[in-house]
Amino acid sequence: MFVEALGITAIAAFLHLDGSYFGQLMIGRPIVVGTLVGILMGDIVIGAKLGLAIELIWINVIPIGTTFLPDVTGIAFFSVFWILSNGKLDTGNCLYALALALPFGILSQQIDYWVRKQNSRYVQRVEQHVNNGEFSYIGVLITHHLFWLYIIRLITYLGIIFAGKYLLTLIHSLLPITCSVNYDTVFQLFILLGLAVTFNMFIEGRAGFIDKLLGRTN
Amino acid sequence: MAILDRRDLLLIFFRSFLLQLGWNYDRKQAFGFTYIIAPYLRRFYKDPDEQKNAILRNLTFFNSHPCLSNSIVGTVLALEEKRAAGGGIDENVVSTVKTQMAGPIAALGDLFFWSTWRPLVALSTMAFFFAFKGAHEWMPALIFLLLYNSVHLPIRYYVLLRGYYENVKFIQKVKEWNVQKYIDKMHIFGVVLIIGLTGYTIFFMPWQFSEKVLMVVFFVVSTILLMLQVSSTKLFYLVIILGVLLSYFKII
Repeated sequence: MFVEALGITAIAAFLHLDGSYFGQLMIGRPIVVGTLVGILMGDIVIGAKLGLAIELIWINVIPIGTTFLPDVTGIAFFSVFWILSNGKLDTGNCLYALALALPFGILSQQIDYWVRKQNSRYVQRVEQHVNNGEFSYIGVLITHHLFWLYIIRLITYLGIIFAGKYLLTLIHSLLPITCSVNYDTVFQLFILLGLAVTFNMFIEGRAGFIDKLLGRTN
Repeated sequence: MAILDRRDLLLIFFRSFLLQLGWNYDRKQAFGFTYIIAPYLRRFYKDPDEQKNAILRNLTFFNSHPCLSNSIVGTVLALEEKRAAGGGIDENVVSTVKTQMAGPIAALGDLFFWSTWRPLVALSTMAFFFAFKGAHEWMPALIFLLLYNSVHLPIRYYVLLRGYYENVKFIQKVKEWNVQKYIDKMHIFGVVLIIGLTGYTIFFMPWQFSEKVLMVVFFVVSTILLMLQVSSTKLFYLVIILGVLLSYFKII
């Protein structure tokens, strides 16, 4: 179990780096992470549906300037992992896993916030080395920085998935629920929420939107 | 005669994927930006002191859109190259151009990539998800990556080339393209796609009548609440809490 969790977390931690630190190839987006974790844990459909829902729900959270995003990669990874590792695919399990994924996603975001504060030291070190004429250190520091970013992310994610698993077991025992509504219906509601978010994003601030849609111009 | 050839520009293109590395609150993308251009600054300037000054000059505050900032990378490289060759360009000109280009480029990139292209690709992926249901459910995620990057990567490379060969004239050209017009059309397409997908997922899938009614009401109420500036995170929790309470009290 631990080895499997470590392997999947190692992949998720690597994918997270795409969103914040290199590439922006979208390999760290919930839709990709959810599907991949679903494949690795044996249920692609759950992973893909949840990934899609989380992608759309937070589609309007945009990295403009210094705004900090919730860790949507983490939210997708944690929720799919907890749902599929529980062995019991029911609505109660799904609701609790999703409920826990968001605060842990915010915790993960705070780790990112701390890391970005520490990054100033790298810039100072680059300045120092460049002043001493040691130009090749720029590449060395980049590699060093990438390695430590990955390790911090891996440790964060590992800690969260095991803490979350323990908390979920506790919550289930304190507040057991059985729901007659199928988990498929619940996932569908989240997808519809995501569609509503995207709809609102596209029409937001468009006072003349209806006019544009009907081709009316002044 | 340009010093950097297509092979160099291709290497710069790959290095540009590390722009965000070392992002910090003091100088934002300065570390990444310096990493991208440092080897080429050393090629332009032969004197070690000039190399040092050129690198330190570019290790200052910089923050722009990761994809489109390649136009600024290209422009800065071209200006530094001209300066090193005795082209009479003051070092303040390079810094000023870099700073003044960053804002508009960031705004354009945010509007196109984050607010338009990525949501449209996510919606298109949803359509593919229904098409591949029952087999190859991994395909939508792959299609998401291919669709997004089919636009992202060529634009990233193109703006680098144009920034290097045309410098600030390229920005003038971009203003003339009137990108906002195309973005508006893409938003309208997105709305049509959302209406189609919502209708399909509610009315053309095997839900019971009560579930269909619940979904329609839920979609309409969510849309209204979002228009009233209720955040998606709050609505997400509203659904969960509602589900837990209704289940706990055996209402559903």
